[in-house]
Amino acid sequence: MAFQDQSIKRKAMTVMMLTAMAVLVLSAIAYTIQDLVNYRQNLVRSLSGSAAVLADNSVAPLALKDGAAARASLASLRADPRIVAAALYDNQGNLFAHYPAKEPTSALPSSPERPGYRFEAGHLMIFHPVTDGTQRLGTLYLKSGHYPLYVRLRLFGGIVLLVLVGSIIVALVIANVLQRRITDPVLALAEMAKVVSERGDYSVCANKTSRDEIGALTDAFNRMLSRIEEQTEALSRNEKGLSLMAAIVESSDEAIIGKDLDGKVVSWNAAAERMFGYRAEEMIGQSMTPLLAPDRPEEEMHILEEAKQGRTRHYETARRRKDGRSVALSLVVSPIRSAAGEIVGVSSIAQDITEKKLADFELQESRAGLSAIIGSAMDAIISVDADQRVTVFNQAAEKMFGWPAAKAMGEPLDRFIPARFREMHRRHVEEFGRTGVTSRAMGDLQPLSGLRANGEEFPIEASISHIEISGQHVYTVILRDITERKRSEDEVLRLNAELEQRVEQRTQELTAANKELESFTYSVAHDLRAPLRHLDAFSRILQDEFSAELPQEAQHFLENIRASTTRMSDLVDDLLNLARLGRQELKRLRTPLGSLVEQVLADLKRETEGRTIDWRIEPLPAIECDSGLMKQVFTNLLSNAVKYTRPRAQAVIEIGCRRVNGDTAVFVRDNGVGFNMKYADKLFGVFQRFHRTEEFEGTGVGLATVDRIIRKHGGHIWAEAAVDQGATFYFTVAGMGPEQGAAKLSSLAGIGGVPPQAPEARSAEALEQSASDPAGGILKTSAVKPPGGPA
Amino acid sequence: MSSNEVELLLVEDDPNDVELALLALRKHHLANQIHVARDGEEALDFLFCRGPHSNRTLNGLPKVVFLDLKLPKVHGLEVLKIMKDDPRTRPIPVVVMTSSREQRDMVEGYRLGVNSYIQKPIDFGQFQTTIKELGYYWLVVNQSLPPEAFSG
Repeated sequence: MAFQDQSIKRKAMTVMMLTAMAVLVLSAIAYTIQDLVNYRQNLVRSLSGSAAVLADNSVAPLALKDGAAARASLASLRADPRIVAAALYDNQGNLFAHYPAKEPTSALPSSPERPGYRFEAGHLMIFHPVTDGTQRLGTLYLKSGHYPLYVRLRLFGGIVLLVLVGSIIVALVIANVLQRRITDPVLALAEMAKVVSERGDYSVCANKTSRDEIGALTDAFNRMLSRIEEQTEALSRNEKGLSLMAAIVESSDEAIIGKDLDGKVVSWNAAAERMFGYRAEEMIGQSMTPLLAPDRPEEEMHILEEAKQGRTRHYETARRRKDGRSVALSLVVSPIRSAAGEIVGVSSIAQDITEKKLADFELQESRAGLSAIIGSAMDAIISVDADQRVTVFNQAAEKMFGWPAAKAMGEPLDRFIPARFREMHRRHVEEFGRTGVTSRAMGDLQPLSGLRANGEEFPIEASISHIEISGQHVYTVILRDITERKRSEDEVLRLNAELEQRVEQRTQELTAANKELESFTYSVAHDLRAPLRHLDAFSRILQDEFSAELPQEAQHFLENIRASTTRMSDLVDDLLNLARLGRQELKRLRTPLGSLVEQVLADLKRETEGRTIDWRIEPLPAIECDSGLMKQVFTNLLSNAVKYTRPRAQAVIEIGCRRVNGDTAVFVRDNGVGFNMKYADKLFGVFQRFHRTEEFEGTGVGLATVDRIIRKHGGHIWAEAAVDQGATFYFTVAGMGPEQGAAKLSSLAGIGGVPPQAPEARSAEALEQSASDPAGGILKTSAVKPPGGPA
Repeated sequence: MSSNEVELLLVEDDPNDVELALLALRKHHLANQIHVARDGEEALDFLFCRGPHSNRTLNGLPKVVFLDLKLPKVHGLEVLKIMKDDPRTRPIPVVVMTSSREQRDMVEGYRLGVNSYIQKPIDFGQFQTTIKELGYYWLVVNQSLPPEAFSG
């Protein structure tokens, strides 16, 4: 644990102990140094004395060059254990004698130094001159052992250590007793502070135990506690008020923003978050820059400046929301003052007036629009107040009544109404105001009239509306001069009557023409056929009864007469049929086309006799159609297919349905002689034939009839072909949509077997059904006419 | 069946048709006693023993009437209607033979109770066959009511 983190008790102990130890150690060191210095001085003095004595003793041996004497002199040094080596040098510096004599001389200095002493590696070395009083004879060298110095040092070390240990023990005991006097009050104070801070209890009081600094500290602490207690109470009193204020600010619908004098946001309420889209965390500490409208970036600075001057200002401006949208604001900016009255911040309270601005704008627009509408209206618009005096009189009204608006204003409405209607009108308006209805057409019961400035009366049409604006009744009448319209209406009525009469007449004419046509058709049917029959009959009788008397050529002519008769008869029949289509009403019934095809195939037996025809019949839908007419369609198309495949050894005739340009089309395809497509537009015309009569018989009416039937059914027919490569006829019928076609295919019955008998089939054809081959087979039956059946 | 009893009443205004019909019938020896009425009025006079035929009795009614439709004076359908409305003439089979192919005539004919409706074939061979078959059927095969069974 670091020193600064240790308890104060420990710190006090440590400080005391360290101090004591430092004093002791320093004292011991000082004493030891002094002792060592003293010892060395004593040693030098003592050995110098010995050296002086020995030098004196060595004068003679040296002067006499008596080596033995010299060595004897030196040997006296044995009595002094401090001396470990000695040597005597002569005048020339040569070693003369040395001690101990047995030791080699290598350890000794090779030549004497200047007189004096020096310490070297724990040894004291002394060079002392040997003189006889006048003349220098040589030099004495002495070397002490180092033993005595280190012994002393070790001794002192031991003593110091012992003293130190003893001192520490004593100091510990003393410090322990003394430090309590200091640390205990501090610890008590610390404990108290801990209690206060942990419990928040400022009512406790620390005990003062002394009058020293700790006592002063305790006093100060106690004073502080009581101050804190007072302030806490005051704070909690304020807190309620503050939290109420905060709640008010937070729940305000207006954005309330606090800023410091630099314009940095310090508070940002919930309404501000909503209004600007920035959360409080995003804005606190930030300036308002991102919110400023790009077109007035200096505005915020100006606002702040005004507030800093102590002025409260009201602004209408705009800010940019976080999402980039602009928000129109009504802003109140005022300075925030401290208790001392110093301006410390700026508050701005903002109200979103976007809606209001829009509404104002719209109101202005609609007012402008309304006055433009009123001004440009074709109808006269007149408003009157509760006293029925004119307050609005538009341009159309000026024109209609011949009054300038300036003059009409304030005039009673009566001025514009013929005298005899005035009373009625007044009642009408009053009653209208009473009923609470806001608008109504006037003159529901009787026509209204207006009065022009020149006294002329004219018919009008009017509607009236009533509104109450701040208790004031306003009636607005919209008037239309219907003089012209009345005239037009009369004209229309007259024209209508005339038209009706004309239509009636035409209808009669048409009916007559129709009747005439009908009787003509009837006559043609009846009267034209009779002579034909007679022609045929008498030619036949001639042939039968008088053949023996007739030349061959005459018989051939008779044959020609009969052939022409038959052909004429066919033409008449076909033309009648075509003519009848025009006036015939369609009798639409759901009819399975497959069964119609079956019937037609049965009818064609005579034509197909002896032929090899491969019939390929796909399932066909059931459609809404006139089955009799639709049968004619198939009769024509199939007999054509049979006829034009006659040159083919193996005829193939296909019947089916396909999707063509989104429609379902029924088709009949053959591999016959076909035709050139350049004549395709003539295909469905009356009496149009592409083949010579002797090749293929026909009247040229069949396809015209088919075309008319298909068109009557709302469909159309067309063909694709090429010379010698067969032909395909397609037709559509209204209501035979793709979905219908597909749906009906599945509900088909009878294909490939005996078809279900249609009610229309109760005729000779139906009687033959039992003999009919299934579709797809080769038909080769011959018709047997029962007696009484149609011939 | 007495020999002077009329077996077949042919109502036909066109002399050619009359001639051809008679030709065909005689060829097959089907009708010995044929009366030809040349218009609707004459046909009705004959049937109801009126005017020129007032000396006839209703007992001598024909076994079958071949009736053209487009007739002078009284239209064939009118003749048919009167015949079928009257209980005395109602049992007489009526075969309409016409040149016309008008469907409404056929519809009206059947509505009024015609027994057969024939369109005269253009081809004379077919015409002969038709006449033969009709005569054979109505005069020989078909059982008609005896005159005494006719209710007043």
